[in-house]
Amino acid sequence: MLTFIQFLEELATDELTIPASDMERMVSHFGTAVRGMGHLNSEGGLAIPIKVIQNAIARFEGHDLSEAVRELKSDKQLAEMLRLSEASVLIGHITDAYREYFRELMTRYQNSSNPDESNRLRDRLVREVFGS
Amino acid sequence: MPYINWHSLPLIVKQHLIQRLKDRTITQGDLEALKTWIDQNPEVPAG
Repeated sequence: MLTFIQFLEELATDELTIPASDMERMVSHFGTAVRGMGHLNSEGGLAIPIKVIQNAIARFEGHDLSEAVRELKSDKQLAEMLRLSEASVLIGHITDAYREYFRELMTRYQNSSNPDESNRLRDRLVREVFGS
Repeated sequence: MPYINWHSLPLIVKQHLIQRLKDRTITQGDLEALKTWIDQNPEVPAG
């Protein structure tokens, strides 16, 4: 369980990282869609921008976030996990929010006329496409 | 079957590819398709 300070520290960072072991467990339970929630890092973990998670949670209205978390923690196998709606819906929302974030990043990069901003956005896209 | 280690690609090569998006040599759809392919960690032929 995160403490209040740990929670605020996570929010203050640019992205949250799912360790490689947790990520592979989630892929085995929920399928390869899990990898679409962010970008891989050099340790095999998955980095997800905090903004993406916030957008996904905002869309989760009408669903049970606590139940989704319980399902994400469980050791049930792929077929059963896919049948469980809340966690699958949450993963779908995060994947959709990440796709929108990535497209917005590409558009901002293409439209930027400021060289410094262009370089910063280019390097951000390098991280998103090839991993960090 | 081996996998591509994308992290070992020189930074300048990665930047070069992303810059092609800026000059519209590749489209957003092209880059999104590449990212999706990389995310799947595809097996590739040896050699």
